[in-house]
Amino acid sequence: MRAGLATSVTLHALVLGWGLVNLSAPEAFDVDDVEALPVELVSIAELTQIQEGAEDAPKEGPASLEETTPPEPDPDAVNIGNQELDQTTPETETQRAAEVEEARLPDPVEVPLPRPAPREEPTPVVEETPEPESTPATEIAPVPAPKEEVTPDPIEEAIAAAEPEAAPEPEQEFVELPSELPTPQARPEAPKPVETASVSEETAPAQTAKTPERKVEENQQSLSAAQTEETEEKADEVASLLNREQGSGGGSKANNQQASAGGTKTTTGNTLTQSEMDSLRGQIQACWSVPASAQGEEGLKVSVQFQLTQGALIEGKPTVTSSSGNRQLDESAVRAVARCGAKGFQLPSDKYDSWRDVVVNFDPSEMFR
Amino acid sequence: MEQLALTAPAHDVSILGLFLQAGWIVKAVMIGLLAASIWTWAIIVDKVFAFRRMRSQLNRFEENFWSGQSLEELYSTLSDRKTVGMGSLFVAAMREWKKSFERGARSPISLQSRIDRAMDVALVREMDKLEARLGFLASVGSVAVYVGLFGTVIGIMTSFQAIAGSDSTNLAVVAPGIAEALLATAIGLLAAIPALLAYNKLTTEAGKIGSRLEAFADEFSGILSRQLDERGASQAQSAAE
Repeated sequence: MRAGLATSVTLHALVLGWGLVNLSAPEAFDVDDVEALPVELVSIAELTQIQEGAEDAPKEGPASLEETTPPEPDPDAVNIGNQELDQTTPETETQRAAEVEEARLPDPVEVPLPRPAPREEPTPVVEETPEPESTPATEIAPVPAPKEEVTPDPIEEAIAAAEPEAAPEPEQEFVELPSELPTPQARPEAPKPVETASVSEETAPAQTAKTPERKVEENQQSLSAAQTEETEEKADEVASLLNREQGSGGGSKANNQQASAGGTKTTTGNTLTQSEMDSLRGQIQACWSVPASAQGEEGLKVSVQFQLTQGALIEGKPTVTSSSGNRQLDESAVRAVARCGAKGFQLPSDKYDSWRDVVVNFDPSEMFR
Repeated sequence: MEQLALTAPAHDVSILGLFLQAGWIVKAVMIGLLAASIWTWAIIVDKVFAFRRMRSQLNRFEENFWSGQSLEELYSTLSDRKTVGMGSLFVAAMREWKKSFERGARSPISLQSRIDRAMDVALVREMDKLEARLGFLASVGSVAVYVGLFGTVIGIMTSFQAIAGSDSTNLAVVAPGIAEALLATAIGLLAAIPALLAYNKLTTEAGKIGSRLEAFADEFSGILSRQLDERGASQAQSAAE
């Protein structure tokens, strides 16, 4: 019997050894990579909550985090009224000429269009304009300001003083109205009276330096002028005015502050999907050990708020926004967040906006479902 | 978008890996079945050799018996040796014969029946020896399958319990547990099939040897009874003279 047993054991050992070597894991099936189609439920909010950025949005939110290099503060203006020129040398004749050329560039077609509306009242009678400091404003405003006296606006005076010859040039083309030009107070808008052929109204801004009687005369005179020429001319004038106005800021755009963040960028209302939230929940849950005093307790809830950096690391200390009353539970929740946050969360980086600020509700009774 | 992939742990699906992954009940079943298989084969090997020895011994004894050698001589050579099979039957019968004559028991009829009984007892002993442990083969042959099935059912049960806990119906999660459970049935069948075959074969062989022994016992009993009758007749003759 002993011999038989020995034989049997040896046989089994041999068979098992052979089996372990040769009958090891069977070849895995060579299946084509037919992955199950991953389906994720995505909130429609991504499409419905698209927000257009606004230039003047309050600076809030993390959207633009890249450092803005503040522009070099512009040097103080030497000449007022033209940004390109006012900071360098005093104007020369050539510069002025160039500027006038520039002023004619805009398309004249656009100009006549807005006019018809405000042209109704040819009232040169109105006495005072409160502040005709900006020429385009006066143009657009339906209120004519045919002041008898020149307003003591320093800017206008300065403009007038700085370029007394800028105005004359366009006028020279206009043969009919040389009379008013020489007046020193006249702003470059002096040619405006001609335009009144279409409407008397837009003369108003130009008249800051004129008397009303003159204007009436001008109107009558202008009626004879060819309409097309006038519109072209007006377009040039308006454009030149606009240009001058733009430049009047000097170096005011210099700014050391961060660029408006959040508002200007067109953002989508992207929120974390359910599975992403589940993932975050799981990550925090793995770090959370419920204190014995809170286990099995009903109705204990802690809310912990924390901020995350773009690398999904915790920023600062998590704070308890709503305490459960159980101090150990509160601390355990804060610890869980801090511990996980130190390692970093797995979160979609393109949705940083939605998980930048996270509030987590800890409920120990749900933990042990 | 972040891809959150749940990766199933890579399972070791080799035989040893499956065994090591199994639960303790399934492991116990597998180990038990393996032990049964080892014992079964030990019995098979043992019996095959024992039967072969027995057959050659029977042949040799019959050769000696029918060689014309006197029974007394044969008895004297066999009596002090350990005998098996026909030898032990012969020795048992001759011992009874000798004892009866030494003590002067003269009744031939009762002597005949005593010799028969002694040979019957020796025959039963021999058959017992031949068929010893064959019952184990029968048990393994019929029960090992069920034991293996038990291990499989338990294994699949725990496997499904684990699946219910893991919230995944992926076949890759289900498969290793079931493969491991099926290993128990495989081992059960591996033990049962040879046991059943060997049992059938060995019982028929034992039956053949048994019938040979019975035939010898009958023959020898016939020879002895003839001798008794001859002796009785010669004694009656001498008494009449």
